[in-house]
Amino acid sequence: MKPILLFAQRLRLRSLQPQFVHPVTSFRLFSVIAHNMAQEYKLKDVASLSLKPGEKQEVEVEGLDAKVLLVNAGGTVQAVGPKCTHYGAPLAKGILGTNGKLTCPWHGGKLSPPLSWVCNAADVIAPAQLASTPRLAISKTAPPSIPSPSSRRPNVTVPFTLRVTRRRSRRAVGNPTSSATPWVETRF
Amino acid sequence: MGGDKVLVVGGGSGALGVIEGLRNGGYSGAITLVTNEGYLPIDRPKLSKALLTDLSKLQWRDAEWYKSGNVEVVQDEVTGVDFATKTASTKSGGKFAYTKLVLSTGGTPRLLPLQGFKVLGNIFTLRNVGDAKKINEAIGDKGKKIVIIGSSFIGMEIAVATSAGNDVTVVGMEKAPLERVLGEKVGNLIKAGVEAKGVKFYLNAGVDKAEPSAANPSNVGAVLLKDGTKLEADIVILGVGVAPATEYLRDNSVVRLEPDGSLKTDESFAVVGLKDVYAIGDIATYPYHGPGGAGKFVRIEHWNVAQNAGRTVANHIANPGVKAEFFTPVFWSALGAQMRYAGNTIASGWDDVVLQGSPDQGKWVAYYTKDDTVVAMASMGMDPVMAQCAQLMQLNKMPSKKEIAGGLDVLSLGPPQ
Repeated sequence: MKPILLFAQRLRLRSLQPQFVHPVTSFRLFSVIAHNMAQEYKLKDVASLSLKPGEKQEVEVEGLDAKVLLVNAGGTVQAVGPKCTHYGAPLAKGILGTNGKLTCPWHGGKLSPPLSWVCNAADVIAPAQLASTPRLAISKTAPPSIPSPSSRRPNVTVPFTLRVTRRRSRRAVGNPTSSATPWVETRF
Repeated sequence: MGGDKVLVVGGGSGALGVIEGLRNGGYSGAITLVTNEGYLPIDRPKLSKALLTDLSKLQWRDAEWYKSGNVEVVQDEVTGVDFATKTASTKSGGKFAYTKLVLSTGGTPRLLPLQGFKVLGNIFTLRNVGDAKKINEAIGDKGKKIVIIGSSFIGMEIAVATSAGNDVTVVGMEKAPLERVLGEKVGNLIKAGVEAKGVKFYLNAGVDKAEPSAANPSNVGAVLLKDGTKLEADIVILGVGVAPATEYLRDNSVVRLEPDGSLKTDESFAVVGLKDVYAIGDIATYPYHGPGGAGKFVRIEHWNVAQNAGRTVANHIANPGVKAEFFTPVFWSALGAQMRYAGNTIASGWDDVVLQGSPDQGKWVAYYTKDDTVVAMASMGMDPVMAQCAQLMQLNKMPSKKEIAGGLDVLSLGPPQ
């Protein structure tokens, strides 16, 4: 049984609005990542990520009192915030196409993989986006949290990044008791 | 000269779609937005659905965001465009040069050309935050008699939004509210839900005039219907449609407006007959390629359509050679419960409605059909049926009327694509 863990880090964006993907700023944002130690969080009751394209699953994150939505978006498993940041619709009830496009169940906003990209209106803001590039600036000090639209305000976005990780199998690692057991980021 | 310069005129949903689409698509030229609303682009549906007036809750993005994206926002009104020199001029005497012009000036609420309506106070339309503020002020601490004229979406949403604590009456010309879009059967389903909130209806009704209040003759006191019915009113709200806001082009010798005042565009929302000019949102009449559309021209006053058109324009500016992708028009309406709608019937018309679900329990889907084609659908309490249908329509995989009438549940088809 392979526990599925999440790296969760709080993003400190001055504004909670989506940032322009700007050729100049994106370099700066990238450079921050390397200096941070990621914190790990377990996904409750998830033994493996065997989602097929078009499948999704809402799961609890242990230690965060929060949920994420795991989606197989066109062959890549991503974790996204569980609620649409437009009006807070439960994205677990959205329509995920086998092409990876996720349509919000309430107002038809559509996201393309990587699911940070809004390709169709109704929701002009992407749900929290995880495990996809570009990863945005992160703070070492701020407590990790899963964002959810606290009100019907469309002003929350990508406030954190999560990377879905999988522990290497014990056999592969060789020394299962070592505290230095490597954790390998996996793109599912 | 000075490189690419996109000028966006009008600051609604479509404008935001263009701006986000351009910047997220990597466009690095200049962007200027000229808006006459006095604030940054707002989530306009919240006006009619909740009479919200708090700009911090209404504005999609704050000033800092536009600044960070190098978007210049000008609070002014464009009064004319010189298409030959590619310059727009404004009320306050400004001149803005462009390499690409995006017109997204939206709609202007229609008024009633009837006695009393243009002169009496406390008669409102609802389009912008200022309108919502005036309505809220007039309602004050509630207990008001509110007469809403027009039984389509704006009228119905305002009725629901004001029904608590006020005495609300809707006057409509139709047999059932929303009949023009949803048909009589579905309109009556929705009517029952809104009546449960205490809203009263006068349908099949014609308005004769507005009369002044005895206590304050400068304000409205009653609305008289053609059949002689007198409806006492402290406040009257008109929801009788909008007209494309293109006054600034009316006397332009280069452009020809459609009979309704809109601009005809192609699939990329480029204005037919003009170079480097786009029109989106309420002012755009564009070829519809959804189910049953066959490329016929439609003008759709949805927030979602405006914004998608904006994104389409952004894509076209970045990649002029790429064919615009069809998007399914979607809207929703707060009518006691949330109603959701995908598709469109303007191009094709519709000749039948297939109803699924349990209307008596407030859970239903109505499929609007033309011959054997499902051209649109509406639903309440059946999520995510609308999202599924929007996706199926986009992929041209919507089941036939025969299949739907045979009881097919569209969700049973699984993830589309």
